Amino acid sequence: MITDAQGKDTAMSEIWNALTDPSIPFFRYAFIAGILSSVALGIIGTYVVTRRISYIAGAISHCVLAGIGLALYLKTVVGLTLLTPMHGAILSAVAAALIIGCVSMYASEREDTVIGALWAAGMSLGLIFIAMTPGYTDAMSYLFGNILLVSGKDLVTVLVLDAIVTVTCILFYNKFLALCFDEKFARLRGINVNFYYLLLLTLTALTTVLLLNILGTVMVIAMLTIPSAIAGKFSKRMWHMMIISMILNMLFTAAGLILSYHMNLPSGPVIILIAGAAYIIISLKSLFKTLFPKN
Amino acid sequence: MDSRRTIIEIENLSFSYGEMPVLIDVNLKIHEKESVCIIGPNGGGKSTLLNLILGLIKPQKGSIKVFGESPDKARGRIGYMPQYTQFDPAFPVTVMDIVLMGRVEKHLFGFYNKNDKKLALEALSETGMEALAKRHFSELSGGQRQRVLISRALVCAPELLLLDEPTANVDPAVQEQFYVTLERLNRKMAVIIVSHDLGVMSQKIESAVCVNRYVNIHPTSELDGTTIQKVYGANLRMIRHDHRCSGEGHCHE
Repeated sequence: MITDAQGKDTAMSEIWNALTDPSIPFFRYAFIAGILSSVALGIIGTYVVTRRISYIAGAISHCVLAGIGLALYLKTVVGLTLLTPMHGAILSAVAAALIIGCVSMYASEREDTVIGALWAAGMSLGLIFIAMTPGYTDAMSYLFGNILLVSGKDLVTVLVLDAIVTVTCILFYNKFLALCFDEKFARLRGINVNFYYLLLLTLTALTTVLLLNILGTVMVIAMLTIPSAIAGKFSKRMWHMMIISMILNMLFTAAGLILSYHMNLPSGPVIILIAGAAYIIISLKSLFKTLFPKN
Repeated sequence: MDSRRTIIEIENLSFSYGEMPVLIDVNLKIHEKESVCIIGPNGGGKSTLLNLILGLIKPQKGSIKVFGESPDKARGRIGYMPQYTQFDPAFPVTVMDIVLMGRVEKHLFGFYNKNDKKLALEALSETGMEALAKRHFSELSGGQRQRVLISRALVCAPELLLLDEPTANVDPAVQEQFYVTLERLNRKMAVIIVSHDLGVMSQKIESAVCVNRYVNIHPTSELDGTTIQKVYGANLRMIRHDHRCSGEGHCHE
């Protein structure tokens, strides 16, 4: 008979073997990718949650398809061979961020309407370009990445992203904090709030688009918002929230990968469900506290 | 006439949103170390006047000078306190973090230094809040949040303190304390309070600026019942017209 402890031991060593086995590098890469992307997700997620712009991250991640489609079209039909879908994706993500930012700052249009329209139009434009490009392209593979297909090159990309996000957010920590808490006051202190807001949106766009082909749209949005939302319940200061959010991101990704490996389920949904379950449990706990105080 | 230096001078100013006139032909002077209450009904143009003084919007007609300059140049010398209710209580900031925001423009990169923190603690002690510096904003009561926001305005070393609806949602005992603090601050700087609540009018405030599309100024003074009867023939408390009124005088609707 196998005891529980022995069972756990076998499970742990099995995961250790999977991580170190040179014949299956994809599991190791997935693990490292998850840990590395937690840094950018924790920092940007904190801003996305406190500034309440998660729907902007949603719109950006879907507009990316327009850029991917255009890049494929220009490459195949027009003959710009140096273009890759990633170039198009980055350009369209940053463009979408700047358009949304300018609309919310200058136009009298309702911001949420513009975001919704851009979201849908961006996706449609992408599908049209892909349809006009000869040959078969699976558009969905660009939107729903697969963490188990991560390459060494992808890991470098994530590292660069982490460096950009961390350095910028350390340099402008005070500016971003003042901007997110009280934009009007920051403006009155002579801070160029438009510039910093657009910078923040651009960082959000970069994080979204660079993690897209690893994690996929759904998972990027989930991992931007859920760990930070949980972290917010335990944080007194912005940087506490960022660090807690990073740690939660790492824990959810690690737990999700291990569980999906064991149960032979797709990794992305398992990771998201673990994060979602944790969020629901913690929210219910605070709801319970509000409903039944002093108990 | 007032011999003090003029810090806000508004001449023949009109402002409208599209076709809707919000402020019509406003003339107003506010002096250094004066205490003024801007009152009027909601939608009467109080916030517009406030945003004009802060230089966030520009008048279509007429001129506005703050400390002798255009308002967007002078705004660094104004300490602004918004309504505390507009903030997300779950936002991850401590009292200290908030007060330090009053020095956000001092450094292009990086963190606050010891001097910033020293000044922030001084500003907190002005409002009696230094013991709560490490608390989370959501742990504070309404009156305490308001004091933190005043400290944030004070850390900018302002010559003019501008308070937007400071007594909304604060109980009367706290309000009373609040006025004691304001009176002390008023010895060092001009104070402008914006409120829709006539009860805000304290006897410590020198002038009332009534805003309801047209703007008129009164000195505030608490008159006893008989004087009020004599002057107005009715029980109109605290407000009477002033020599600083515009030529035509004005009427309250």
